[in-house]
Amino acid sequence: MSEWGVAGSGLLLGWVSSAQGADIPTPPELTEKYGLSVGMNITAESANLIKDLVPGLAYERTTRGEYSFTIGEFDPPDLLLRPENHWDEEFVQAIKQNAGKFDVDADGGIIARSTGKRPWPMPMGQPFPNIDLTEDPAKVGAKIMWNAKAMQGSCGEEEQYGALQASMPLKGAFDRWLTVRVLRQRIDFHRPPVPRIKRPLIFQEIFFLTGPADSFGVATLSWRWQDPKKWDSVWIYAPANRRVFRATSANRSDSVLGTEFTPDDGTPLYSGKVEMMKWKYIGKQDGLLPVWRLWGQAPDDYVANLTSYGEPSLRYPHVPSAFQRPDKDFKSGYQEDPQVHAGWWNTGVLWVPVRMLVVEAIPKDPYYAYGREILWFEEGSNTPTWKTVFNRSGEQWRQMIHLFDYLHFDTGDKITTCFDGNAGFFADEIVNRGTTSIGSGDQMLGKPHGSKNRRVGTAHFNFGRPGFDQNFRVGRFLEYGK
Amino acid sequence: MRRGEKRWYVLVGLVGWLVVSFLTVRPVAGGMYLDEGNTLFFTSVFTNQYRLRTQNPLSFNAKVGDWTMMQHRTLVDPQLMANVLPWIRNQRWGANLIEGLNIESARFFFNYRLEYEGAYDYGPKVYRDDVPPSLQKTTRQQIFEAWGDVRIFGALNLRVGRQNLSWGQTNGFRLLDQINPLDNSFGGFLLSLDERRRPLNMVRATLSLPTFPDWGIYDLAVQGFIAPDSRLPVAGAAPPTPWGTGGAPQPAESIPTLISSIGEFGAPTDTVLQRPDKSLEDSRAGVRLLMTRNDASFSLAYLSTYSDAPTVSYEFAPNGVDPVIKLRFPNVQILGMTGSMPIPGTYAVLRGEVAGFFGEPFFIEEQNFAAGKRYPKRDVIRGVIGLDHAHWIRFLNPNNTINFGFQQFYSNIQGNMDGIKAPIQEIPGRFLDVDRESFLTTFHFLTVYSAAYFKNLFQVQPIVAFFYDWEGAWLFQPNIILIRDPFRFQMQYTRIWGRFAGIGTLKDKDNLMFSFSYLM
Repeated sequence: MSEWGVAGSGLLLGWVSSAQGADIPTPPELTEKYGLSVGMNITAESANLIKDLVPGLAYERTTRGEYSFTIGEFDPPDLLLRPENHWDEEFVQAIKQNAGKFDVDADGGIIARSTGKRPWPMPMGQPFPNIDLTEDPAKVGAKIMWNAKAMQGSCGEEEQYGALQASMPLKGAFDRWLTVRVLRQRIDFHRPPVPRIKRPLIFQEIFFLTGPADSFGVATLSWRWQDPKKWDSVWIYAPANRRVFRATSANRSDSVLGTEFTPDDGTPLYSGKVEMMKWKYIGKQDGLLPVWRLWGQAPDDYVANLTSYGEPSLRYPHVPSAFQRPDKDFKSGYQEDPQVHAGWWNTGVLWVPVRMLVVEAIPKDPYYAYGREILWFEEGSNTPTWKTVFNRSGEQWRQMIHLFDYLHFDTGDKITTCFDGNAGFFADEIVNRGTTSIGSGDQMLGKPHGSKNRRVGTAHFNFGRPGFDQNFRVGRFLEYGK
Repeated sequence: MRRGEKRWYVLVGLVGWLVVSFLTVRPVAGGMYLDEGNTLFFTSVFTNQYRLRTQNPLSFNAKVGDWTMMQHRTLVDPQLMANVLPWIRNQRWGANLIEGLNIESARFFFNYRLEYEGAYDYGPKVYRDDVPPSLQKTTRQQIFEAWGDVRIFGALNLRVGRQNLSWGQTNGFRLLDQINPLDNSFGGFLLSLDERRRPLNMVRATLSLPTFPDWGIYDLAVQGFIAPDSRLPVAGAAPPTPWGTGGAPQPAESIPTLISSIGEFGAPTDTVLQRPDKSLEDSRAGVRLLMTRNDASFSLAYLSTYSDAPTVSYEFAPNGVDPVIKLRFPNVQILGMTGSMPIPGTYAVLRGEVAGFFGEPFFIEEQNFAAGKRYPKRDVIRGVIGLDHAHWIRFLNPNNTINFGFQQFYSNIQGNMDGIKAPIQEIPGRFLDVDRESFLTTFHFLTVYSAAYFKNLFQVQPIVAFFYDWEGAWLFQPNIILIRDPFRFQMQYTRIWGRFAGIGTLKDKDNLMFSFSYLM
């Protein structure tokens, strides 16, 4: 197993201002630079071409034929270099308005320059549109992470059905899985109208487990406080006890049901509290950014549809602002016959060369399972992509890739964009197992696109439903159990 | 069929059913939506559990050898959850109703349970020959839950129907959790609490109240219920069933007051179970206030319910002439509070519960078996403090924390203790002592190991539980669960030893259990 090295080839150390893509190479330029071409399939034989574009462990798996990459392209080519290409007008304006207003403190917490205090709630839009990469690397790293966190606020309230996580060995089918329904509300960075919530929270979330049957009815409720020092408050409803228990949020680096995924590995690459980590910007790196093909996309169509349109929700046909994700071209390694790729690896993904910013995160909690994390963000948009996890002995432990969408919703009078994760592939490099996490779980449970009674990955944005925050009250949580 | 003949056909049928089941199930299953609109969700559990006795039974229990079948239990547990809001909306009046009542959700839940116990059909012969047919409980089927649930006016949740409701903060043992009675007669005390609950017909309401963030009160709610249902707890079946623990009045001839009453008024003509009426007056009912202040959750609860442990007495039937043995479950009033909070900066949660039980029935042989005398009642204070802690021990498990759980229960009986005993005879004529104060300590730990450590065949979840009853009895229960979706295989050993008191009254029930489950 090769050691990750920040000075490894391809990492372009240099403190250059990003300035919204002014000096960032476009995907076609990078495609040409690395001798790639759109539609090219990178396999073990041609792995050298992407050696400098993926983390070392992913490269090694490519040389063994466990991973492969099909090169895609954006339309327009500078899709992620200009906010107006992937965000809606309202979000673009919000980004502009935030310029120069915020800073981060010594803890990595966000503060208003005018008051020196933590604003609550944070307004919509990325708070740091023009990061000066020559600043203190600790500040730069935290700002990049805050930008990624802010992107999620574009979705406002969210309700998802049918998400699935499945754990599997390198070869063979998955042998552990869980399906969940998720309710989320972000208060920070929320698209107006901002929810009028009295609890000083920045985020609240409910997970309902719907399968397997012994997990049906298990639910967790989390409140994330604005107070940077305060850990999340967590409650669990366990049907076996029929009671709501308090739980500690401390073990967010614990594997979920023994899979290769932990609660802090969620969207956007790190789903914990920003202030719980020490951040450090390391430098730049060219890398491959994944975009899942849409279902039905022609085999010779290599356009990476990062900004596809959501479909009207089947589950909430009466709610005009309820949309669901379009299905993806799900082709996982375990479905192959004979199996070639790693079980969790998906070949329905297009990979676009982009310039990345590399950030290191070291947990402040001495008991956190991870010793260090290295995260890659596309430079122009701060879209998260790769994450390499080291254990406390410094050994490379996990290698994960997140797939995101800038989903567009057409509500008639305007287009609204929702940035959210739709999948992730998590490999444990020590024990050689992996977990796939996807929004439309029934594609893995044997109910492919178009089949009847299929659970769909439903994402609602900006419900506008009065009292949505009431879902996250502890008293209300008592109602959810079966 | 002749009595005593082994009913092998049942076993053959069961095995056949298993074979057919596993030939037809998909290797990967999943709860499923039954309709295109994703409103009907169906899931199910199928469990087959075999328990082997590892010691000879004591005292009055059926004389069977060790390493014989103690239990062969099959559980089928299908569950259906229906979101009926779209259906309401499609009615002619639906949209107006939804708008008028501000209905946010409307659900229906249905859970049927079928259990089959094979020990009486093809287990040790003594269970067929010596156990009265009325005690040979081979099947139990019930609508475990069937309720409708609606949220209206943005703040009020109503759930109506047959349901279970649990209050409190304890694991494994019940303190404030006294709403649903338990049925220990089918499958014994080693089944999970949830599988032993007796659902009640109930109306429950949960109302979200305004919060007071300036005072740090971020959540406030009140919950109330009323259950006009006559269902009562069912104690573990008496000897000679596999789960029998002995008890009064068996053997009756060794109880002096009872012998005296019988001599004066005659032998009891019947055993009468005194149960509540299905009336508002006799209903179980309660209310609790829930509050989250800063990072701590509290509740204050009052409930009127029926005791888990009955008292037994020699009385006269309503005709005033015929003597009967009456099993009484008198009404008990409970007032208590709970609290729980994470300990800041640690991986631990502290929880606690204290409650007063008012008017609990007790047993004094000279009173309960003396015709015309009232059985004694006492008030009892009970409390528990618990600590749950997740700890990384990376050389034992690098992927997951090990969860430790500790509970300390305390009970204090108020008032005069003279003559108070437990209505269980250890040896003929000697009832068990009851101490004013009693203590019980529980401890468990569990973790889960990645399948990678086991050739990717299954995850392994070890669980070890340890109970110590301060009257001098211990329970030690190691478990190993092998997890490969959609299957579970569990091995569990239960060892109880110490004095014949508290959990020690079950000390002839040491066993080895194997369980296989298929989950949708």
